[in-house]
Amino acid sequence: MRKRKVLIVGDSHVYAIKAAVDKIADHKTEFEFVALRLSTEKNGEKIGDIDLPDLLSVAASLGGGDALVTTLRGNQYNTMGLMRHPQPFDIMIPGFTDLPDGTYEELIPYATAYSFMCESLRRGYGKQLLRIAKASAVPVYCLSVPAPKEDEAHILKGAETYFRDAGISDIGVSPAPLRLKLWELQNRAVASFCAESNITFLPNPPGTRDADGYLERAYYAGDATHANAAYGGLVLDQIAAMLVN
Amino acid sequence: MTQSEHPYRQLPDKAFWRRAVAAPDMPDVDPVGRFALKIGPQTRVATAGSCFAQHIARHLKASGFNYYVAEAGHPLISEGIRTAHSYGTFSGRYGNIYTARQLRQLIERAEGQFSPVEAPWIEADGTVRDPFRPAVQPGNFASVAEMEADRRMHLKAVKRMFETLDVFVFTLGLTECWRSREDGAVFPLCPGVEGGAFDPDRYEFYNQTVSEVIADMESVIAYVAGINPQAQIVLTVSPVPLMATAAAGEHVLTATTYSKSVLRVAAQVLKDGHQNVHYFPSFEIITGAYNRGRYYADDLRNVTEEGVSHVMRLFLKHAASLDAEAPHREKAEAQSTAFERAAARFVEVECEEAALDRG
Repeated sequence: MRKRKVLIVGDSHVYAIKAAVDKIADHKTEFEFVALRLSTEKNGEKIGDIDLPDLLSVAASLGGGDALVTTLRGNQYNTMGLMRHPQPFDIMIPGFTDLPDGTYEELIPYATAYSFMCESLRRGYGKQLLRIAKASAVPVYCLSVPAPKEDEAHILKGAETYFRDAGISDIGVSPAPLRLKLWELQNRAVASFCAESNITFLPNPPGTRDADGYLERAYYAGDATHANAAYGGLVLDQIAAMLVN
Repeated sequence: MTQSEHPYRQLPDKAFWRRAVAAPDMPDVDPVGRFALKIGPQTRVATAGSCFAQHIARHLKASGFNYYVAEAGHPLISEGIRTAHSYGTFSGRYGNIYTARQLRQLIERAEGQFSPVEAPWIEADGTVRDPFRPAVQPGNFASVAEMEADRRMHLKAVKRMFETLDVFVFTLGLTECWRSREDGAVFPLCPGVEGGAFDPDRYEFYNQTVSEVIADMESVIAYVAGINPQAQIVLTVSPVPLMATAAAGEHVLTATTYSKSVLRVAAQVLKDGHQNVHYFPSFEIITGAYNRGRYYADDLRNVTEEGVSHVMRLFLKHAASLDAEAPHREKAEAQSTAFERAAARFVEVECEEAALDRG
């Protein structure tokens, strides 16, 4: 019997899922998980598993009970706020922790920050997401990227090249509550974009966030941003459970 | 003085209607009399006022002058979004300031001398408007706490603006407004029009007299002189008619005449009384009979881009010593179609007052 194919494609966040797929390769499930890194250039070198034109062809070939899952980009929240900004700011979101008065110079209104996130998505990788989604006739899902890590020491130790080159060790890490709010804003913008685009947005797998909303330490990868293979495994469980139901 | 001599013989052309208004070609009419203020590329020019003030801000920016924005929004946010969210529309994110009382009140609030009792306006969806700038935040504020925090930042920026500007251009727009019966706080828009709920027990109509406008502006001028003694002030009167009048029994046309007359008289009195206060006749440039109404759009209210350009060309000529070439007659005629197109396209300004009559 043909297994249902689940094609999971994305940028850097797909690595955690690829690692999980490798670990369960010999497991007997009704799904054939295929996780691919979309090709791109990084530091002058081409990396990744599949070019966009080929991906579009593969996406078009999916059928039956197959599914297409995306985890494209997703680091805008970090670009905006992993490092302390020279003009420190806060964003107030009901239900989230405000930074103490006097620790920031400017308040970015929620609606303004949210509009900016939405605009960035629509003008940026949202176009690519739509293109991929439209290439396929099967249901398309979009994963929330992992929640931010609260541990500043871990972030400083594992900061990616982009942030190291930008001097994060001297500049410092933004307060964790702000990073969590930027991530939340990004998630809301992506969820809204997906709702308008007939794409199902999938939140983080249950149990991967701590009581305050940050990524559980058990799911930290070594760097500042990404989750590990254990997290990827939970994503696969989440997808499988959703497709079975 | 001989019998044939009289004071008018020595007067320049600009003193005579036929020579200065009726005879010149439209683009050549220049009603600016004495205008002592000079601005340079480094002069920090701040703006506030009614809708028409936005044109001044826009042209100053486009002309390469130092249009001073004290509340620019965070640089992380794209300029397009910041503009859409009222950052940079004026030098502070105060929205339209239509009346002299509103300006005085803004200063008193920025200085902590007055805290209106009016509570934030909560919309049906739970979002929040600031009653004193109800239209600055698209999507409104997410919470009362956010609105209050943003207001604190805003008022700090207003104070900073007055402390550090070189020139403050204020366009007087209206005399009519609505105020709180409880503490006299005035609102840019009648409560209930763009947020809030109208309650005749809580709000009353207030139409300023000329002496009240002068008193409010005297307070502003004194404040500026105290906090920033070198600052210059330019007053203009908005040529944009009232969207609607709430004056009992009045026609909107007579109400407009009253309002603009009061503001024009006040501007003259203030200019005559203070060396650092200047009057720029944008009102006359737009409303003058010489242009036969051509500087108004089809709604007879909004000002066309052609009219705004005439105002700003003269402003830059007199204030910046930029003798910007007046559109040449033949050229202007040849481009009439383009001008008409420009006239048809209302200059995009955020005019909250338009909410009074959406029909």
